[in-house]
Amino acid sequence: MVVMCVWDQIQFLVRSMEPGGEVATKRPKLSSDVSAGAGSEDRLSALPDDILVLILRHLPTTAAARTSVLSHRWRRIWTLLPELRFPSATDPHQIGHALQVHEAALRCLFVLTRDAGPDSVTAWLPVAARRLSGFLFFQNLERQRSAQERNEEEAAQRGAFEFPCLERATNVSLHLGFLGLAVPPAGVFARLTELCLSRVRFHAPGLLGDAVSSLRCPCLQKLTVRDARGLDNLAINSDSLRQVALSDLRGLRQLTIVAPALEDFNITHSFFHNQSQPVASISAPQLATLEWMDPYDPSSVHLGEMEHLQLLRPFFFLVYGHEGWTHNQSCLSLLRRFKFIERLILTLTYLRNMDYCHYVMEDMTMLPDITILHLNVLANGHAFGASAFHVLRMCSGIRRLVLALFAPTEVEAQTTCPPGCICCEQQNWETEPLLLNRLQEVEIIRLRGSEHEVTFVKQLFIWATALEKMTVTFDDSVTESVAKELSEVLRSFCRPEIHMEIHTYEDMIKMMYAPEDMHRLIAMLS
Amino acid sequence: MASPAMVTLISSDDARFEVTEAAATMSQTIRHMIEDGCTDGGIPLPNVPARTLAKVLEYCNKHAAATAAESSAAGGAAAGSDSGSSSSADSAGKDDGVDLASFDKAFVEVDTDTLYDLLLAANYLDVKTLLDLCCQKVADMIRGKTPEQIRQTFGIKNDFSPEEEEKIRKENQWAFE
Repeated sequence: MVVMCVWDQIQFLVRSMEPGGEVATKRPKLSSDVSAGAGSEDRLSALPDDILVLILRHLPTTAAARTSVLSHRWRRIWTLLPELRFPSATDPHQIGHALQVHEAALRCLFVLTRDAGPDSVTAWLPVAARRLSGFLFFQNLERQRSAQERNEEEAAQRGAFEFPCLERATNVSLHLGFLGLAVPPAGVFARLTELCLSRVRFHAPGLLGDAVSSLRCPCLQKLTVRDARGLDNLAINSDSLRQVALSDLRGLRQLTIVAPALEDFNITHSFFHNQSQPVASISAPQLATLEWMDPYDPSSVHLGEMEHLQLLRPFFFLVYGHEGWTHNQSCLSLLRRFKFIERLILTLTYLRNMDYCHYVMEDMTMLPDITILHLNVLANGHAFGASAFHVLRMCSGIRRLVLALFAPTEVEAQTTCPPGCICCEQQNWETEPLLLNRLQEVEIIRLRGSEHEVTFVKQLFIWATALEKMTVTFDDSVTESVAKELSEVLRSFCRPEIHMEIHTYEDMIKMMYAPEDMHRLIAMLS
Repeated sequence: MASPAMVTLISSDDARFEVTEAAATMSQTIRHMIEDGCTDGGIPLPNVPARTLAKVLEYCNKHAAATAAESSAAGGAAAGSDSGSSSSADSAGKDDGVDLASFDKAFVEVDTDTLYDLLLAANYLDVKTLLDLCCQKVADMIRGKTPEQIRQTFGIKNDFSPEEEEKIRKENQWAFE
């Protein structure tokens, strides 16, 4: 998940920084002979403006702007650049200055600042708002992650900047380091199609829901809000929205969405922080993907008709729990809400310390009718076979299984649980019969090769009598020699008719990130 | 396999070049001419002399061949592999990528006059990847240099008075910090 979020951002950056497009198509063809000018001293300056601009696009904006002093010919070439990227060392007041000097249509603006206050944003953003007709990417870096809470306090006291109405911007991505943002109470974002706000502290007077609804954002298709403060009531009414992702909206109490074209909706850890009853109403009849990784209570969360839903992801399920815990009800209630779903993403979680807990997997008695199961297991070193078996037994008609073995981030947690741990009491599954005779494809992600894991994979081969393909990707902690050994073990379980692919974690990263994109990204950020 | 479709290109100094259609149509300008049916008796390119056209075609031939190899390798891998590993197809693809990258790098190791000719030709012929490659090369020659070093590298004459230059530096002060 984390990897994908980063990848989203990278994609955005790479796409937004991509040279080409308009300049190339608008460029007039040359009528003079291309050999003309040969032998003259300075043929570079004799090249047409658009080629010089293309050359400068391969340089950081500061280096491009320095060419202004070369000669009269070069003085204004950089001001024709369609993209400007300001690194964090730039004085924000100078950014405003540069934007005023800049002449061409500004299609992409990339600004990095460090610990900016509202005043410094006001020094450039209003100018940018008048000039920009494409992408805006602004990231305000915080000083230190460890001092995050303190920074939040400080940021709260620094006040807010008013977000100007970007009338011609198409994509806006703001990562504010908890800088305060005042949503404008009026104005139309006429061309905005994608808006991403993260680490934002919302201030009065405007309401975000009002600003992103159809009346003021008629083209908005994708809305992402992550790590927000001060957003207690979000009400969106949009005919254009197709994707909405909300995560860590601390303080959210009420959510209302009316979006007839909405296809993907994700809410993560928002009501969760409040520890209060989630209050929501979602009307999205075209919804195909619903990821509700948050408390869900059918008495206060109203999900309208969702006949086209294909993918469901409920909140995580704790395999071992205490008496009186209601956490698992979110997952169970949502599972009961749907009869048929093509793809289900289910997350089983084991707490590290399970003292005084007991096995509550039996509370899960039914699943919707599904074709594809994506089972995430955060085992924290515990034996997870019983719970995964319990799930598979309820959906034995699946055709495809993705088993992702999540690891906690701390290194120490990768060790196995202490001997005599309660998780070892559930061992019956190993000898119980199970037939997964429609299962054709299994993908296992981040296998580390623990005994628990290997036992489970071995059983999978036995249950899945019609298996055609098995893909295994090792965790990044697996060393080369262990990978080799583990591959041998896995192949010994395999039958000849099964096509087996084994990848290292590095392979997977390489597949996800095309090298040319990475190089471009690195070049762009340098 | 049938022999590939060929087209004839005619340079500004009347030299004729026989190339595969796949290589020629890396140029959007030529692609449009072919689509418009302007190929009888060869395609005239009155803006490109033979010396430059030969160089551009060297680039197009290499890239068109690599693209063809890549797509046939991908097809073969999809059809064939049933064993436990797909590494052979993978590594073949990677080698091609490395090969092409080193070809590109060597391709623009030329004197600046040739580089300008290539820029203009790539621009006129609309070969986007070649234009990008040449622009990148010039940008690399600018990168990390002071304005005076850039002037020296490219023979740019400073036609500013010292006062004017100072004024522009002030105007773009942020870029010089």
